[in-house]
Amino acid sequence: MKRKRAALTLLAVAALAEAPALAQEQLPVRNCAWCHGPSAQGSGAAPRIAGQRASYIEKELLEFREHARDNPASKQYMWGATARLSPQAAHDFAQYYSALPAQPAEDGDGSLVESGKLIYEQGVPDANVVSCIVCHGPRGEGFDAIPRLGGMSYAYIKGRLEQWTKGYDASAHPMPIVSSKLSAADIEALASYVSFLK
Amino acid sequence: MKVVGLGLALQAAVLALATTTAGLAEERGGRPGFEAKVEYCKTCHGLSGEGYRGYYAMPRLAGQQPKYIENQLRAFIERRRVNPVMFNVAHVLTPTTLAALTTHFHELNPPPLGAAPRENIGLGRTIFEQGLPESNVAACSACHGPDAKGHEEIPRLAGQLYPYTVKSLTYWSKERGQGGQRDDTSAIMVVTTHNLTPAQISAIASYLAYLR
Amino acid sequence: MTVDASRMAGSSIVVASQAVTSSADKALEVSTDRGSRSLETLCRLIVGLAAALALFGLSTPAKAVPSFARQTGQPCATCHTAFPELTPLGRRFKLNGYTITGGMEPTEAPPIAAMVVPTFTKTKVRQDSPPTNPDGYPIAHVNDNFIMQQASLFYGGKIYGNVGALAQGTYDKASQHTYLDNTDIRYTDTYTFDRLDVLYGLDVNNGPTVQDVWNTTPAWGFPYVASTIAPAFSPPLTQVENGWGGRSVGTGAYVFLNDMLYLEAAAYQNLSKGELNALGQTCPNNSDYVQNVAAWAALYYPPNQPYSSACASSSLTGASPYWRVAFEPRWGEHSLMLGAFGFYPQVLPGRVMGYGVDHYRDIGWDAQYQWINDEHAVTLQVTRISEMQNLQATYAQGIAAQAISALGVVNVFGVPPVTGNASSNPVDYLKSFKASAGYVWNRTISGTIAYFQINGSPDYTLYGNALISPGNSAVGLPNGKGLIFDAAYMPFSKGGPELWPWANAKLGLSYTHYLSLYGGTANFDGAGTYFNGSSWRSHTATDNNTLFLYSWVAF
Repeated sequence: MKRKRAALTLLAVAALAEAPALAQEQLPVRNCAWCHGPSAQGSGAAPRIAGQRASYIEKELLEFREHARDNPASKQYMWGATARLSPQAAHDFAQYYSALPAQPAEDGDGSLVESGKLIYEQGVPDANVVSCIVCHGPRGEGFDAIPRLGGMSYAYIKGRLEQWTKGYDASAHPMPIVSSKLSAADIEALASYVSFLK
Repeated sequence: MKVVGLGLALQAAVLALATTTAGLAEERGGRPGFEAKVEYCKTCHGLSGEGYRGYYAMPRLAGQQPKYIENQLRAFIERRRVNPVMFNVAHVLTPTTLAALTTHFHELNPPPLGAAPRENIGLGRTIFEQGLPESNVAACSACHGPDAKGHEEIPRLAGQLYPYTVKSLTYWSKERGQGGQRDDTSAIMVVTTHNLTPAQISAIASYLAYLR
Repeated sequence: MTVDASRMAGSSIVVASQAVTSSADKALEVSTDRGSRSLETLCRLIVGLAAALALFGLSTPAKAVPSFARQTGQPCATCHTAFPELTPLGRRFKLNGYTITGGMEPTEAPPIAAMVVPTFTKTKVRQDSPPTNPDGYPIAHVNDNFIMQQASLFYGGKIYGNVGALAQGTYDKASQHTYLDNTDIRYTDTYTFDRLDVLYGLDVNNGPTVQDVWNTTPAWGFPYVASTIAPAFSPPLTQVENGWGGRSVGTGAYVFLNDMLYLEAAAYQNLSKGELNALGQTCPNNSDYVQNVAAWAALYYPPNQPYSSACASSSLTGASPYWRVAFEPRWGEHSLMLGAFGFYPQVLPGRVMGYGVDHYRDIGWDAQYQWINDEHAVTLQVTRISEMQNLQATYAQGIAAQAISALGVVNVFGVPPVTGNASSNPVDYLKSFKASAGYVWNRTISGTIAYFQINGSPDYTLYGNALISPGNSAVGLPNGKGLIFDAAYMPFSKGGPELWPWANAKLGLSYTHYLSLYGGTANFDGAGTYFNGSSWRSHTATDNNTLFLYSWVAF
């Protein structure tokens, strides 16, 4: 009994000790807020990073640094922004931003939400279009290093899906394969639906 | 066996090419036919069929028993096994494509994904090889084979994704054994899974996850 | 930056050219064959540029440019379309107080940058006399001038913590004069209340709209570079556009709400003569005043003893308020700004005490639309400034001058008391309108067309009148309008050359076409035909058309 209690206490202490505690004052978050918006909800072409999965943020930051993610906007802005980012800093930024509340962009075409939802949940088997739900979850919450999609801006999702069809960012397997099966109308519908997904 | 399988695959490919709707493919991009369907499966189930951990765990198909895959696909189609995504995927498959797919995946052999907790692999191995007599749990190896590679309609378990095995053993009755059909042997697992504790399930799944 | 310099130099040129009767100026004219000289200067320009480019070699991707680029790790193209015009990200960099980092540490790259702007200026018709500096010395030829117009040193970047600055010191080789150019120091921070994001800042700067982040306001508006030695005539400008840049100190505070709504209030105060001299700001002297002092000094000072002629330019009294509102929603690749600003300078004309103070009220409306993606950038801008000039002090000085002259009043030194300023009306109005459309391809090649127009109340004292008091206008009007065409090539906006990756250059050609000046086209000043040194002509608006080549290189 005592041993169990001790073990539990140790576990609790270990859990608390592991919690990333880099205070906001130490992290230069203004460098990210510059483009991603003051609450990291996204601004212009820069996507929302608030509430994004920490593993995904960390992975992407390191991919920008390695130049593995090479779509034009990443090359123009993120390569320079991450050139001097240490892996520890990437981890800390990821922990910080994943904990922020996220607002859905809701800037897609409302009339396409139904058809977008259909593709999201069921795919289009006749055309070998996979459903998004199996990896990204029923509410776009993502998993581990698979990004959260729910509420991401229409313009951003649309842009990403189109970039994969053009051959950019080939390291983001399996998205290039997924995108290659989508028609333009599919992309519009999916991006619209996702922007409303909470 | 292999030559016959190859021949079947070729036949399937030709048939599939002939029957695929060209219009859809043009609109959506990607090649028509069997190759496209294989790629489609592999988008979720891993580039070499090794499985993929998304929000849901997509199980390993590589090296799987063809009869088992076929049974499961039919179970999805007939809703004896309840899975909305797989129903959508499977119900558009023609019988020849279906058969060709099973052969294709059976021949793949990538290393296991692993990614499972390692603490209880020993316990898992013990249960796999000897069962749990006191819990009325038979040794898995008795049906699934000592190397967990399965036979005929009994599935291969070696290298299966940890979360998938856990989910399957925990929620067996919810998803399977719904119809009690003659070819569907899933009812046989009901008692076994019912008698396993979560810790034991985790141990078995860990052991299997690393098994080549 | 350079615009201030040109406007200041412009006003001094206007004053100087009004004193064209001085024979000393004429004697210093150089007369050589104009054709061969312009060809020679053009060759020199090309050889100079070629040498500079040869030094640079091939370009490298994504390395940064002067100190902001070094500090952030971003290329020029992130913040600029065609520098110094800003993208929405560039505006937010400035609003965050120049403190965004992510690139090199200050120990690796101190926040220092430099630029040089050699230029070539050609007006359609040669100027009547060579351009002079404020002390009256000629600094260039009457036409076809190749000069090192400006060499500047910047402190640009984070100072410490949340404090950052952009401070510029400029050397004008033509007039051989160094001065503190656009300077802006700020402290910023952010705060979030529930759903409201607030970016707030405290700012100290040296001119109204120096702290502004939109290119629709005068300090950073198009054209971004203009000749400092030509043309001889250009339309008068409102107070917020001309006169206080570099010659005042403003302190203010601003907030930027939810990345969209900008609100600012500031107050501008005077810099004393000593401070102005220390900062290198010239004091264009009222020529009557100088003559008065010279006459008095001749009586009371031993010959050759130096004396200081007091700077008799106008000064601000008290605190002159300034406010600015701008609303900039963004969606995708687009942004639209709708804004307004106001400036209320309280001016002591000519620093002459005893006649009261002029009150100006400048209200500006501005709007800017931008569409920017990684290949194209389109910017549309429009600014309209309405100025009410309450010239009670200037007017009073004018009345007094008439009385002094009529009554033969003299002071204790035996010279008439100084006034020096005058206007026909106690209240005048001036409206300034500018619209421009620009396109930049790949942040490399830019083309811009702009239209400007000034309209104002007739005032024969301020602007002249052919019958009553000769001046710039035959009809006493300040009205002028024209077009500016600009094309430029910026090879390094997305990445600098291997030898020095942070360099950028803007090689440009600009042409200003005057549709009318001072209320007229031909013979706008009513002075009639005269011999300007090489031909008989009258002062015509299009004579001032200026071809301007510039090679703006930053390190």
